[in-house]
Amino acid sequence: MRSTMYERVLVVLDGSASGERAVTWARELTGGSGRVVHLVMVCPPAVSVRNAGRTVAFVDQLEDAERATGFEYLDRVARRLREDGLTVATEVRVGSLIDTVEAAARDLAADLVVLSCPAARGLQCLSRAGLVSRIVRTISAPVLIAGPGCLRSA
Amino acid sequence: MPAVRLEKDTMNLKTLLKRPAVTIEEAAPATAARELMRRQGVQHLPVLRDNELVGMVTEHDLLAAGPSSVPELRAYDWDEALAGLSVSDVMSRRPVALTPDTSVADAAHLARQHRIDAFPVVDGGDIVGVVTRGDLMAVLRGVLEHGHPTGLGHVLIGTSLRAGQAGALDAALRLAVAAGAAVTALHVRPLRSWLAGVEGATAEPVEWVERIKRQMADKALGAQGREGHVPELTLEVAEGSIVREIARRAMELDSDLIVVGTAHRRGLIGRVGKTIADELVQVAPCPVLAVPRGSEGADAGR
Repeated sequence: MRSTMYERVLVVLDGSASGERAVTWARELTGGSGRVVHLVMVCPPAVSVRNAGRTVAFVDQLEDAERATGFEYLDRVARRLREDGLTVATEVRVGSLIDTVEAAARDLAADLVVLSCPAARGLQCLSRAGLVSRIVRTISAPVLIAGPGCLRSA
Repeated sequence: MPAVRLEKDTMNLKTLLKRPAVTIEEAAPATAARELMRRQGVQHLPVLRDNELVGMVTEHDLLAAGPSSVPELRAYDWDEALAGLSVSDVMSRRPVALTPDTSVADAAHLARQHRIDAFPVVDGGDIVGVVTRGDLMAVLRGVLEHGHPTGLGHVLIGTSLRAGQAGALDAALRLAVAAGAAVTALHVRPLRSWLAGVEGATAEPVEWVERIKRQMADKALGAQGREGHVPELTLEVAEGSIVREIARRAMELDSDLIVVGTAHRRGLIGRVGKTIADELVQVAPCPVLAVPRGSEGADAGR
């Protein structure tokens, strides 16, 4: 019996293909059925859209739309994991990547955090500097990261 | 590809049993079976009479007992149609039961030959799980895509005697044991050419390696106690850039996972500093599991 894997796994998704690779790893490392996988999609905070001095799209409208799209995507991913007998919860959070991951991991009391880290460009490089150490420092749980050089799924 | 990655001869159903079996009594109402399947997210239930296996009931059996062959109508009137039925009315009798030691190949052969969707797995009279066609297909996928049935054929641990090491070793060995993976521990010494000729400098790595070997042996014995077998362990020593050497060796060994320990850094260094794991993630050919100090024993499940 594969009893020695992780039990409360937080998987951070961004809608990318590399993020979905992280999902397959979460499935392998949970040891399968009966364990809890919490899928979180992190959306950057929205900025209202103005045109000719008037606001044409408000922040809460845009974030609601992001949430709806996010849940639709997460439900699709969750369905595949549920077929393997995993208990899956989904959530869309708005905020910066690291702060949101930290908060979600604390709330869930995750014993493993899984995320992908695609190749960063420009300002992203700055925001992701020390990503692993910052998350590890805050939540004290192992972190599994599929980096840009990691081409395989589990 | 290392020879250890293909384990078709040793792969048995025990490796596929991921959760305790969900069973139901034959006298239970058929609606209870349906509800249990929905709640537990399963499609097959072994059926018991006085704790003995007497049948299997599947989602398909329940659908077939419904009022219509049109799926939407069947679902609509399901509860009413099943209301007067018990599990024994709809189950398949005399299921083909296998043991945890049955090989995956034999199970696949039986599934194909007898068109069986799921096998109850019985160990000494106890139902210990259910293996489905889907589980067998997952093994096939693992072998085809990665050369290993569980997708985790080789784990590379970046070792050191620094803080966080014990937790990383522990996590790597537990995962390797659970997935049937081989483990290579790689100890990378930083280049210290300036130490050449300094008395005692060459003795240091020998002592380190011996200590790491002892740590690995202790952890492996612990894993053996919990799981009944130990993973194949290899220790290697290299010299150079830690990140580069680990990434290079992971590529050569076709590793599926790299495990490294990482220490908490507080204050300003913790906020701005990078760890080996941070840099390794950028160049590693496979995922990196960073295990923080102090997580041993609690990190890799129980």
